Amino acid sequence: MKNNLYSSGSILRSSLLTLPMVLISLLMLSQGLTGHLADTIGFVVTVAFYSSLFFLMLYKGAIDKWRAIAFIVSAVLFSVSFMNNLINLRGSVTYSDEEIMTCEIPFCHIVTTMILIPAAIKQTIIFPGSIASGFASISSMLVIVIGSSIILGRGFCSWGCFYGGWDDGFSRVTRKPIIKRVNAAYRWFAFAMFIVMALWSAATLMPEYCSWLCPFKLVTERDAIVDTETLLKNVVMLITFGTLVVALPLLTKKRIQCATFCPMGAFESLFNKISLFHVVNNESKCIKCGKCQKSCPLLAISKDNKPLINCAKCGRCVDECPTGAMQMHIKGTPLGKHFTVARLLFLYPAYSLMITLIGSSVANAISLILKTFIF
Amino acid sequence: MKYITYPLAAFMTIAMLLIFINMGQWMQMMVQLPFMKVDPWIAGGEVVDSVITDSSRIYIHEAAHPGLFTNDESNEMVQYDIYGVVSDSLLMSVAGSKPDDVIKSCKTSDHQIIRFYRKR
Ligand code: SF4
Ligand code: SF4
Ligand code: SF4
Repeated sequence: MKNNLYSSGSILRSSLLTLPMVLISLLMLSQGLTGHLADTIGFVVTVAFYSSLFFLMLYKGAIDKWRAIAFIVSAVLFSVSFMNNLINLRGSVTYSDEEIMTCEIPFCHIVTTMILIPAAIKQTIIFPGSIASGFASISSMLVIVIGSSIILGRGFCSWGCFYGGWDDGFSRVTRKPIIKRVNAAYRWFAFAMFIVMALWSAATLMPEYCSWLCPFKLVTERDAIVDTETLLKNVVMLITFGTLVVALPLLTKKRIQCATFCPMGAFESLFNKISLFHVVNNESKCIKCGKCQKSCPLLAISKDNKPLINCAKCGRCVDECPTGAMQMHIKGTPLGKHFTVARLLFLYPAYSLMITLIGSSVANAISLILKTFIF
Repeated sequence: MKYITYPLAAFMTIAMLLIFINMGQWMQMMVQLPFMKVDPWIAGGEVVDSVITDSSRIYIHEAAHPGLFTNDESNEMVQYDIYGVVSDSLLMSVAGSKPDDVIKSCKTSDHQIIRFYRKR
C-alpha cells in the first residue's frame, strides 16, 4: 500500500503533471543565460535535474526520497556558487572589518530572528548588509522569507533553505542510527534558541548567532582570522558544524541542527499556523505503528503520532505511513478526501520555491565547474 | 463552501512565482518601511545629529572606527558616506564634500542616512 497510494502509475499522467514545473524552471532559470556554452549546459542540466525529480515524486509516489536529492544537491552547489561569487566580488570567502563597516555582508534568512526586536523598538536593522542593492540584499531576502513562509509555513525548511540540505544529507549517510533514541523534547530547545538569540541580539545590537554560533558560515563566508576573537569565532563555527551538522545527524539520522538548534526553524514554525498546507494524521486510518514518529527527521511528531508545530513538511512520514493515515492536507477541506490533490497542490509551490530560490545557483555552479575543468 | 480552500491552495503556486517575478516592486515597498535602514551602530558609528528633510530622515553619525576610510589626510572631515535606502543608487561615497553640501544634496534625493567620518 505504501507509496503506491500516491503513485500515478502512468508515465503520461505524471509527465503532464510535471509539465508546469518544467515551464516554471525554464521561465525562472533562463534569466542566467549569457550565450556561453557552459551556462547553457548548466541551465539545461538544472532544468532536467529538477524536472526529473518532480516527475519521480509523482510517478513513484514518494515525496521525501526525491525531495532530499534535490535539497541536498541544491545546498552543496549553492555553497559552491555562493563562495565563488564572493571570491569574484572581494577576492576571498572571509570578511574583515572593512566589509562590515561598508555593509557588504550578504543577508541570510536566519538573521531575520535577530533583527525583529531592534526593528520594532529602534526602527533599524542590526545587520551590516545592503538594504536593497547587490546579491542577497536585506529587502530581497525579507520579501522571500515573509512571502514563502506565509505560503508554506515551515515548509521553507525542507524546500527553500539553502543550508538545510547539509544536515539532511549527513542524516542519510548511515543506514541505521547509531544513537537510536533522541529525546524528542530537544525540539523545544530551538524555540529557546530563538528567544535567547532575539533578546541577546537586541541587547547588544549585533546579530549574535551570526557572530558566534552559525555553523553554515563554514560553507558560505566567515571571519578573517586577525585576532583572538576572530580565531575563537572560527573555532566555535567548526565545532557547531562538526557536531550539529555532521556528527550528530550521522549518529542519529535526524536533522539535529534544524530540529534542535536553528532559531530560524523555530520562527518558521510559527508560520505553520498561517499556511494553508499542513501534514495531518487521519486517525480513522492510523494503526498506531509509530513509524511516522520514528522516521521524522525533525522530531516533529508527538507521542500520539500527530505532527506538531515544528513540522517542516518534508513528506517523510507521509511516505513511511503504511496505511496512508499521514497525509498532506489543505486546511478547511474534508479529511481523508482528495489527498492526492492536496499533495499536488502543496508540491507545486514548494518545489517552485526550491527552483526559483536555489536553482540559479545550481546552474551557476554547474557552469562554473564546466568552465574550470573543461572549457 | 468546504472546498473554497482548494482554489486558494492552487493560487499559492502563482503567489510563490509572483514573489520572484515582482521582486523589484516588493523590494521598493519593503524599503519604504520605517525600519529599513542599517543601524548606525552596526554600520560603524553613533548618531551625533539628525536632519529631517521633506523627503527623508537623515542621520548623521560618527564612525566607530575613525580613519578606516581615511583617504584625505588634510581634511578635518575626511569622508562622508551616504547610505541611500530608498529606490535607486544605494551607496554613494562623497569623499571630501562639506557636511552642508551633503545635506543639501540629500534634500533633493531619497537618501536617508549620512555617515560622517571624523578624523580624530
Ligand atoms: S532550521 Fe534553519 S538551517 Fe534548518 S532548514 Fe530551517 S532555516 Fe534552514
Ligand atoms: S512531521 Fe512528517 S512532514 Fe513534518 S517534518 Fe516530520 S516527517 Fe517531515
Ligand atoms: S505511520 Fe501512519 S499508521 Fe503508523 S502511527 Fe504514523 S500515522 Fe499511524
